Amino acid sequence: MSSDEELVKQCIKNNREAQKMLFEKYASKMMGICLRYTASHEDAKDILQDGFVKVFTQLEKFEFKSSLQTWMSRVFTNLAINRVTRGESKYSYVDIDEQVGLAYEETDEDLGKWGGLTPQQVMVYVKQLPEIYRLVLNMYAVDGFSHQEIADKLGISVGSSKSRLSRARVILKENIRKDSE
Amino acid sequence: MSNKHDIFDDLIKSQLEGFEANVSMADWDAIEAQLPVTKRNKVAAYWWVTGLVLLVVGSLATIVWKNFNQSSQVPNEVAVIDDAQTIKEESVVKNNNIPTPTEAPTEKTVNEPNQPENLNTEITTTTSSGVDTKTSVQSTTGPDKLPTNIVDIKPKGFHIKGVENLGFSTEFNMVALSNVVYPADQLAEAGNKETPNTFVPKWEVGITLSPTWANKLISPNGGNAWRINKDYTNISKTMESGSTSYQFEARVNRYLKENIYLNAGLNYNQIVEKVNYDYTVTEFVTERPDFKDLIYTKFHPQIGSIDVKYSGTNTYQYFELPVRIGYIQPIPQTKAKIRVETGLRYMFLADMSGKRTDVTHIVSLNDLSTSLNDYSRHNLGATANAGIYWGLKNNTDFGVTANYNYALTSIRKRDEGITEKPFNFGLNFSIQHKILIK
Repeated sequence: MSSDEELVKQCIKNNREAQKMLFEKYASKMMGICLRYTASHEDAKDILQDGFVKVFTQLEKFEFKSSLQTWMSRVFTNLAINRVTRGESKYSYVDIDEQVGLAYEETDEDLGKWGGLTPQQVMVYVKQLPEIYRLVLNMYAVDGFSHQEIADKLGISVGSSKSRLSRARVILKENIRKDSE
Repeated sequence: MSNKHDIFDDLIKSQLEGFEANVSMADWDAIEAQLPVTKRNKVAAYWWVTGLVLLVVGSLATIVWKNFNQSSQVPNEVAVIDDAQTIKEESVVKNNNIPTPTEAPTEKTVNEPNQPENLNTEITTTTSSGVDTKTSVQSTTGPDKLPTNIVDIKPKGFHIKGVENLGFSTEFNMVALSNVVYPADQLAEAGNKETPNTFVPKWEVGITLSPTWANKLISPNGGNAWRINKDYTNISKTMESGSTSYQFEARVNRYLKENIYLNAGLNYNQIVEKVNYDYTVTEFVTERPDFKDLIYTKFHPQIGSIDVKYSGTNTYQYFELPVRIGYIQPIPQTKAKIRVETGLRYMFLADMSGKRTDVTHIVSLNDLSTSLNDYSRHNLGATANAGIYWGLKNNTDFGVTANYNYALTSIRKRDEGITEKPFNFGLNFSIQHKILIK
């Protein structure tokens, strides 16, 4: 039972062994998505568990038009976005810091510092972002949503989406600069 | 600052797109616990339940049938009297249901008014080995106390053939017999019929179908009540309501006295509720167990509010084992009887479906079909009913009773913010068949 196709077939049949194999194969990747969108590890674990339950119950809808990983990533991303926007995150906090709207002058030096970071270090900086900015940054920069899609999904205007993205970038760069000084 | 995908975004994307993190198998255990039971297991569970029911019903039926047969193996062909002078016993006489002469009723006979005060009877029995035995019977029945219902009396002796349906035959030769009497009705029905004013233990089996109205009582759960969202109570009261439901029961009664019986059975009970959620959430809730409090934080103005709209039916399916005590009282000059029962029932929550709002995070609706293990599946309930039964035919009754069932324990787990106790009441229509057992 190596191919995703066979794995999916068995999972649809509620074969517990196959479901466990699928979990083992994709759990760490999906956990990465969950961690990007949440401030705490506990929230990420909650989403991971709910996401897999959702995947197993909705696998019948998967038509192999994309890879299984792409489809699962989309399921987890949507779930994480819904969780965060609906305020179901038990351990997160809302920190609306309006001072982040300050203009920021980007330099080549900043890009150099940023490029020298490991993914784990980047993740730490992203997680320090207030929720509403982290959300838009992840959706736009990593998961490829357009501002229009973000606006539709979050129920905000396109302008707000752009504004939040800008602020997210400013905060990140500011924090990196502070740490490197 | 540009909002196009710039170099900075590309850097983030390249570092985070394939980001992976370790997970533990404890996460898998948690996921597995939420997965629906596999169909095979579900089918197996139904087969187990069905098998168990068949076993219980089969065992009861066997016991009833065995007892019924034993009690029905009594003579139905007796009191054939002739002038034979010898006794040939072809097999061992086992029947002790034939009344002895001394058991004869003491009513006065009209056929033989001038009989001696003491009646001496000598019975000679020839066994298969050829040994003759003699038995003397002395009757205290006097001439003035002989029964009126006498079967074919011969003055010099008589010959009884009987009990052929038991697989053996008996012949008696009565020597020096005079005026021993056997009431025909007692002989014919010996041991096999309920006599007036005499309690005969008996079984009843029956089935009932009960359309009911079902709902649930919800109340704060003491020390865990802090988990209840401030809007939950209002939502539950105004947007959740009871609905029509039904209950099916197979039941067995065992009479302890003429009017009192113990009842047991197996119920399938379906409790249904309607939900019609239509509310707006403007705050999210943070649950902090250490503080024993909920913290409400307004959504950011740009997020605004979230509308929750959902209409549907939630169904809870139970298998129940009731144990009750019942009282039944015939209504004079009618075929009707009044019956009252009360007792306890074990309730097993077998399945659920539908959606309900969460007690704390009202912004989300919980899918009941995947939340089965979040509920307490073993519960205790009380039950009571009262109604009227009409005799149809052959010990079969039709009844209409009002019933009320109520859960004594909460179907929510102990650490939930609320206790939730389903109840249902309605009319049950039943057919019961009575089996008499000596």
